[in-house]
Amino acid sequence: MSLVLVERTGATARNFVLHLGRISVFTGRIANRARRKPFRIRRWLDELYNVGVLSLAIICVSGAAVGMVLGLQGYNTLVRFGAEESLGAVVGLSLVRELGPVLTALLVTGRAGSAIAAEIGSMVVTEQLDGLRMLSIDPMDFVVVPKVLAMIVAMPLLAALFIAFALFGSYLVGVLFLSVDPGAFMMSLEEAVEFDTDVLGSYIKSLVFGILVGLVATYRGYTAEPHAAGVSAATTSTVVVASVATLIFDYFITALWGA
Amino acid sequence: MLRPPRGENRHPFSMQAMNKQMSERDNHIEVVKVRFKRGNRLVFWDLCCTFPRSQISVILGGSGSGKSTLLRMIGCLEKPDHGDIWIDGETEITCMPENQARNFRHRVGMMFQHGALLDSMTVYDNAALPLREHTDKSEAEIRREVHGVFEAVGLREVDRLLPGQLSGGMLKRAALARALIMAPEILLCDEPFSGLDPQTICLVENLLVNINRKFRVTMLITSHHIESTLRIANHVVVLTDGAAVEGTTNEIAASSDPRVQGFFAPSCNQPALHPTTAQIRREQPSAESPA
Amino acid sequence: MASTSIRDTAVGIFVLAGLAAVAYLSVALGGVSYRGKGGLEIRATFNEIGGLKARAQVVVGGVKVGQVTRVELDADLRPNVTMDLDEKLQLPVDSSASILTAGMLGDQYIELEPGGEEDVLRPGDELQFTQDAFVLERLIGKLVHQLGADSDASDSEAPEPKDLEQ
Repeated sequence: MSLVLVERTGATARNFVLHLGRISVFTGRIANRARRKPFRIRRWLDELYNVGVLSLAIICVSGAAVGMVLGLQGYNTLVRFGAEESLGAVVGLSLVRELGPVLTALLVTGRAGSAIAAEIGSMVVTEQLDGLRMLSIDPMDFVVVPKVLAMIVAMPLLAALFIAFALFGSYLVGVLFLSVDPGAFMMSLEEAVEFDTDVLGSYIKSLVFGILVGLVATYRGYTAEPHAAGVSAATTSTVVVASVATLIFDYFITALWGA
Repeated sequence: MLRPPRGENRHPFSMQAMNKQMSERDNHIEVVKVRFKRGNRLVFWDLCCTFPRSQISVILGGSGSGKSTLLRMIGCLEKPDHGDIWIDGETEITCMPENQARNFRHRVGMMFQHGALLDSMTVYDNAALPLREHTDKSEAEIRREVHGVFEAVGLREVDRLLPGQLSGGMLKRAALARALIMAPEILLCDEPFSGLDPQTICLVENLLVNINRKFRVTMLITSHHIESTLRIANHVVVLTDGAAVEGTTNEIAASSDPRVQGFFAPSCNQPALHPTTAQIRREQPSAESPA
Repeated sequence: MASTSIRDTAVGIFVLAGLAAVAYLSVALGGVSYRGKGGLEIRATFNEIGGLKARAQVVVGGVKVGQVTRVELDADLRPNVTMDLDEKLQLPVDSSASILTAGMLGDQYIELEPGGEEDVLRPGDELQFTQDAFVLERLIGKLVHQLGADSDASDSEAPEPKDLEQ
């Protein structure tokens, strides 16, 4: 009984390493194609629209909601110590350092990451990628690279917008509903958040997350099994793997950047 | 784009012309002792067959017999485990590195079973894609060429439609148009008649024959549609048990080989159309209406 | 083609909005702009700097005028602090630097008190007057020592006046 468990664990570990190797090779191919002509600006712009513009709604709404909750919770806790004037600092630091990049990455994974995986997966099923190969067009170059590059560019922009909307939401709740002094809010916010430690680290995080989500989504779509169930599996595993990877990388970046 | 006919402009389908052709048959594609395994399943074992130049060859076989695989191998999308495929007797394509394979594919056009057009682009953009990628032609020239091919396949007013908005017949024509746009020497058609009603099948058959006649392109068609095969094929390759039995349409139809007979069994009772009768039918172009 | 230009416009708006948010976060919140204003480098030597670190604030009368750039030990093993101040600052040469704590348990910073001289500090100058950081443990140590000495002294001579300042 336990032997089966050991076997399974071994198989899972072996699969994990195998996939890690494959996705590294995949990444290498993307990096190779990306720096060569043709640069496919038109396709990249289209993908930027799909990833960035179409995610704006969810990012802005979620950002405002998270900001409002943060404002509320932060106030409830700080008011016990008479420190509600520091609400701006609490909210600002939480958002810029952690919640902004991480939540944005998770939301974008769900919206754009799954869409990318599904689109590429269904292109595999309907032989569209083979069609491209027969036209002597490399599907990696034509389909995958523009999507990955668009994700890398869009993610930090979306994270910044998320944080901006969240700050607005918490300002709304704190100042207008809970009567925190607006000057104190803005001052503690601006005092606490620093470019070097907080803001720059935040951009680095969202850049890394953008790379992660882009790679995972395109890889899972590209290697989807050529039937409907395969596409669905690719989509769900994209969301799972990208989300978990985001959270794990978040820890490492925080630890390394802080030091 | 319009490729002039090779050699003299002779009627290829009179009886004498056909006999003459058979004796001096020029093999465009030769498959030599190909072996291929998919997972645990053996697909081909020492498969040998040939495809004559500028003729319509039909690859017949049941499901899972490897028809599409053979086609994909000739298009360099898959490599056999063993064996060679020769083009013009001089280019061996199974060992080619990827960049050479990419150049080779310029000479080949493939019409996929479900079209395989990019569903995020319009039909016009799909057909124009190879021209935009591989040639320096201006947009005006491209427009002329694309519309020319659309005319040749009988597509009208489809420029702005997306592939998802096309009917079955129109989709096949659009796929055919895209395959022909770069004037290939070899046209690979994967199950062009699948999923079509009998009327549309007739239209597609006539279309393929006209294209073959007009542009002298070597056509390889996979099918399990016996009637169509008997109507349009010059050369038939039957795939059974991982190997091939080939010959002209007459030879195959009259074959006493048990493997071939087993395949033809359901339509054994139908008389195969005599070549000259088939020729008469093709000589009278049927009124084509956009599907 | 119309849809393409609408899309492109949308992408442009998206990128602009994103960059605006990035700029706001970097400049308004992060205080990036401050960095540009330095130029006046001043040094000061202390005996004890407590928790003072690089990038600690330097203020005059509560107004931020610069930050600490470097903290190192000099040849006498005393901590030497280098500060980068606003170049337009006119500080008399007899100004003093004290290390204070923001709030009870906050970060340490340097407060500069302007002196009365007419000459002003130039880049590379060293401040003459410094006040060390307040370290709680030393004060407690002193108190304990003093209490011990008092109990001794009550048996012997009068206690010598001791400096509480170091």
